[in-house]
Amino acid sequence: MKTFAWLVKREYWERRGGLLWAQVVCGGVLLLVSLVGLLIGEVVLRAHGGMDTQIHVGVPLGQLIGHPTPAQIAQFGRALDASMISFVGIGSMVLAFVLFFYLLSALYDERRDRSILFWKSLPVSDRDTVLAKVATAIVLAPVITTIVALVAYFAMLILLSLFALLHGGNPVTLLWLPSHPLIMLIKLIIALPLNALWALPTVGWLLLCSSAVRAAPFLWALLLPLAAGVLNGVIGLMGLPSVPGALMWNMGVLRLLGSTFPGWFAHLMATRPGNFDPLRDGMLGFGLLGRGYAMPGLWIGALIGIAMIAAAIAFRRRNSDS
Amino acid sequence: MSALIEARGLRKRYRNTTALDGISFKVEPGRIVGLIGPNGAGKTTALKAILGLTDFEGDLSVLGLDPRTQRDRLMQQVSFIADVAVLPRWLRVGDAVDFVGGVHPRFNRARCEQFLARTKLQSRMKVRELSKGMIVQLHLALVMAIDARLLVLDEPTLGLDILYRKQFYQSLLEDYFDAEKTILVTTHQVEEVEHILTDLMFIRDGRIVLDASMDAVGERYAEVLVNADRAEAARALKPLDERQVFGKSIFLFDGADRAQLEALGEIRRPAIVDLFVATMKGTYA
Repeated sequence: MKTFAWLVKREYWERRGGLLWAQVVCGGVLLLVSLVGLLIGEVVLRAHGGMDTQIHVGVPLGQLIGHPTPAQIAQFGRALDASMISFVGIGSMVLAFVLFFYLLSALYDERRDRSILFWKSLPVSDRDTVLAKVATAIVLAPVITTIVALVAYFAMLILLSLFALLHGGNPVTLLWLPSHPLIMLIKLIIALPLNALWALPTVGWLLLCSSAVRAAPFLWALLLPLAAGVLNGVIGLMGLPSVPGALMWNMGVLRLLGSTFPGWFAHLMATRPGNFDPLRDGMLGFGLLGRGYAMPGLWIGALIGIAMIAAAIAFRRRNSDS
Repeated sequence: MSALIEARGLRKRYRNTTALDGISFKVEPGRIVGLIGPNGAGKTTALKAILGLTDFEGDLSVLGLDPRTQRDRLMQQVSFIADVAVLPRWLRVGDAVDFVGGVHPRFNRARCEQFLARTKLQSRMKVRELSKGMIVQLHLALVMAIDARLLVLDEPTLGLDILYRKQFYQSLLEDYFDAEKTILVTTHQVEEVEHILTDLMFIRDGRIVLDASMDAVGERYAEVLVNADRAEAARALKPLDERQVFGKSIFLFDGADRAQLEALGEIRRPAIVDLFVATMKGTYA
């Protein structure tokens, strides 16, 4: 266990830029946009004495400093909850790209620069080494992303509170009480394992490419599934038995390449449109999360991902030096 | 006492070449063994087999373990320095010390810091900022702080200047090696290790062509400085090699009678380089 923690720490040292700083920059940009929004609001306010409600920083600023009705205040709460989710969501998008390249190079770079000989000179198994990379991708990185995004969100909320205060509003009753940060946090925590399970096929596929191929893992990882998809299509066009196109692309190619994005959400929307209620589910409803966990495709994909991770471990054991 | 490394019939084929052609050897504890051979003779393959970094046929036991299946356990007792530049470039000196200390049960942090204090290495430096010599200093400090039973060195001083090379072997001898430890080293810079080796192994085309202690080598081989007028007599004794220096001939003999040699001229112990060159004649032909 102690060794495993050091292995994860090692990954963090190597990839601090992608795992932490990319998120800090992302959060900083969101915060900056909020600040600019508030400043524009202030300028507009001073110029016209009133403000139209088009300017939003989490909530419509015009309503916030007017005399909002209870219905409007309740709407502020929902809007803030949605921004809390979207701060994390935007961080997750950034993370998805970071993870794609992280996983692709995780077992390839060490072979290219031969540092694998150093790592293998230590009493650490190939299994633990690879699993530490998996844990970095599906546990450590999303947790960092969530924390940084939440810090940015609360900083934004504080700015907004100051703005309200400046204009005679009470931020506690207008902003902090109507929103539900604790419940949203619980939802985000419940979503973490779901995102992790969802990501496994891509994690497995990229690690497998990273540990198996001699050169150009990016091309292999990308072209092999694409070629399989196209080939399947051609076979289908010739009237021979083939996998239905939608299944092949959505459940196969896209799942292998794109699952570092928490796309189970979109998947659920696309496959069962009738079951999707934007008002209730739009902000990570508990029901939505439950249906996410109940998707057979989630678990089948996770199993396939685990099998590919096992294969990546076997390749790392063999390919110590090209 | 049982051997530290015992190999029987090691065989390894790559696509077009045979890297190891059924070699057998033993390494006893407390020795410093030089594994010397021309490029492509199979040295690195042999080391990789011992370290569990490659597959092979045959029997190999290192500290009683099978390196193919028990590499992680084996590495608690075995340290390894490959040629330079295998430390990852993004690693910081301090993090390297922390990491090895974290995962290696036999690592002595205080000792490592003591070694580092003698160098110009700073904890915040990254490997990419270090010169080759400093990288090797770091690697050596890490490895010498591990209380391992076997240290494997594969061309450890490649690309270093003479000061670093001297210091490297001097530190190993003064601060690391003792009767409990064994060192297995391959290098092309034979002159540098000559005086520290206790055993010598020559490998050529995947086969061991010489496996003897340095004492035995000194008894078996002799170099004789012969005046031109006696050269014919010397040639009659079937020398391994002959070369000319300042009008005299130097003959290298394998197992010749000492009394006969003394009659020819001055006898000395041959340098390993000369022995190597004579043994490997025709390798690239």
